[in-house]
Amino acid sequence: MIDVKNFSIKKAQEMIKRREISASEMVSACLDNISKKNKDINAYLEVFEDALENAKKIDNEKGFDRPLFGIPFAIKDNILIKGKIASAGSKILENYHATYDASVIKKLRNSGAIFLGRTNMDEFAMGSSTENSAFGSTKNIYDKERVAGGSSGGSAISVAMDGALAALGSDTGGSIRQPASFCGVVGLKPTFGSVSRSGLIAMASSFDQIGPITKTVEDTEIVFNVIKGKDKFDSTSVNGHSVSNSGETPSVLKIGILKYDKNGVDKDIDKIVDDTAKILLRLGHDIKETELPHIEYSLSCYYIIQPAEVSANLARFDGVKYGLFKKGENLLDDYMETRAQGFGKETRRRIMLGTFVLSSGYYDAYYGKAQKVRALIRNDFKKAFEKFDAIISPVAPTPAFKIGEKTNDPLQMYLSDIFTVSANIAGIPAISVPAGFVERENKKLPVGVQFMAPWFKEKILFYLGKQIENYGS
Amino acid sequence: MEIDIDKLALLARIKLDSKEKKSLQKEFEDILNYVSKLKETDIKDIDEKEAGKTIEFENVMREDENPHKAGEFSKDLLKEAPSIEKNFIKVKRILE
Repeated sequence: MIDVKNFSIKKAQEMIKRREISASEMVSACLDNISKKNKDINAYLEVFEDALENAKKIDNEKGFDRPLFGIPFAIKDNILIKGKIASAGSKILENYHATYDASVIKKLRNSGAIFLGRTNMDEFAMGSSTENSAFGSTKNIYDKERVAGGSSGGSAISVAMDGALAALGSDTGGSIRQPASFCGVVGLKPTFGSVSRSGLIAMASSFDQIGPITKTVEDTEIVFNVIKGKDKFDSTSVNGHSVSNSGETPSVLKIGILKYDKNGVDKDIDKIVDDTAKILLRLGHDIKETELPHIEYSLSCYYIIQPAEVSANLARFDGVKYGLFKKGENLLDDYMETRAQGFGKETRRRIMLGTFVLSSGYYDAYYGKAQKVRALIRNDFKKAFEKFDAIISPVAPTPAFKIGEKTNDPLQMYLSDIFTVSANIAGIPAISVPAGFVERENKKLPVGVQFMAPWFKEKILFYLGKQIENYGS
Repeated sequence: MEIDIDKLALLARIKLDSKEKKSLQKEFEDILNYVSKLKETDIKDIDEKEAGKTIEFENVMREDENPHKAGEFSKDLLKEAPSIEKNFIKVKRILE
């Protein structure tokens, strides 16, 4: 049988094209790994029964040169695939079947991708560890006592454990990049508006973006090029890339190292960022420290606006149109019961927090203020990108933490997003690329670094990511 | 700061038990204390139109034409509803 470990999308595609391997062989190999590993790890909530059948169908089709022909994908449980359950990690949608395909799913399907199953996540993508999933947390393959990160922890581990060649995740405050860093894979949060969100179960709509998780930067680029672009079903999607990605990326770039408060960041994480900067310097890039004066307010800004949007978006779960219904004494009681029993603790907390910051008397002090601070942070990036082509920073202040370590302290859990949220606040693209390992309790844990680039300049992220990936190999 | 958790729970349409209400009171204090950092920022020069913006958006308009076939999606959608009668979603009476 094929050893999935040895395959990137790129390599699998080339071999499938030459008919040296078939899509069904590739899918069988992934399914085999899933059946061996998933019971312990809980990366997949469901493996689709029709995956192998679909691979066989593909093997009889023409169009071997399609970019994802026969490539097995894992899909985060908040992205709709028609006819399949999409639960968003929540009891309230446990038995909900999607009635249409998300636009990204249509695009992957048309490119020849095969969907293996849906992956575990924090409920409604709120969380940094998958511990908020209603269906149990996902464990990290590097240390089973540690989290996979989140919210796209299942997607990141599905790729890391060779249970798929690629996965889709969603990133609202770091939910693709942080698990990618914790699991030793590549994760991209694209520019806001560059990938359609039609068919993504909405969490905080001014931040949410769908993006790829893969083993290599080149693979992330391949998937991104398939899923990007304006879509008539998402009026916030735009065609930003045709303009800003024309022309060559200069081979020598000006890169800013983000100046940040070293307190609360593990020393060996700092070192990995420094080492990465040194490699870039050796490769001839121009490196300087850069200060973004308002970036320290990112997390505060995020944890006001995000719950506010959550409280509005999740108002649709009322036990009437779809999902769980719990009977009460009257209509109001129906809502109160359904939502009390359908939503998990963190979801209830964020809806409550969002309701508070939007409530009369507090709106200006919290939500209104945060929206303006958001503009300050965006302006900081605008100014920084007049001087720099990219900015480098940690992805998270620590490697994967212990299961249960932060579950009783929501603020501590929120702090693990401190380096990732600013890209969502400003709408810029950012990538997590594996950059080394740190040791905790005799276990080696992977750590990524984050590159951020100007709006629609994903190309720069791919260029730098590949350089780091190839350095020394 | 004393937060009226009962009122918020009603606004949010979520029934909470007293233990959760108590822990939310405490957690809100921590979280709101942390986010109050925003008070340090100077936002007087920020234009209302710039607030909350990520990328430049345009209005997206289309002609109101070519509707889908009546009932085309009804069967699939109704299958997901907790309670239906014929081709309708059934809800409790809202008028006394």
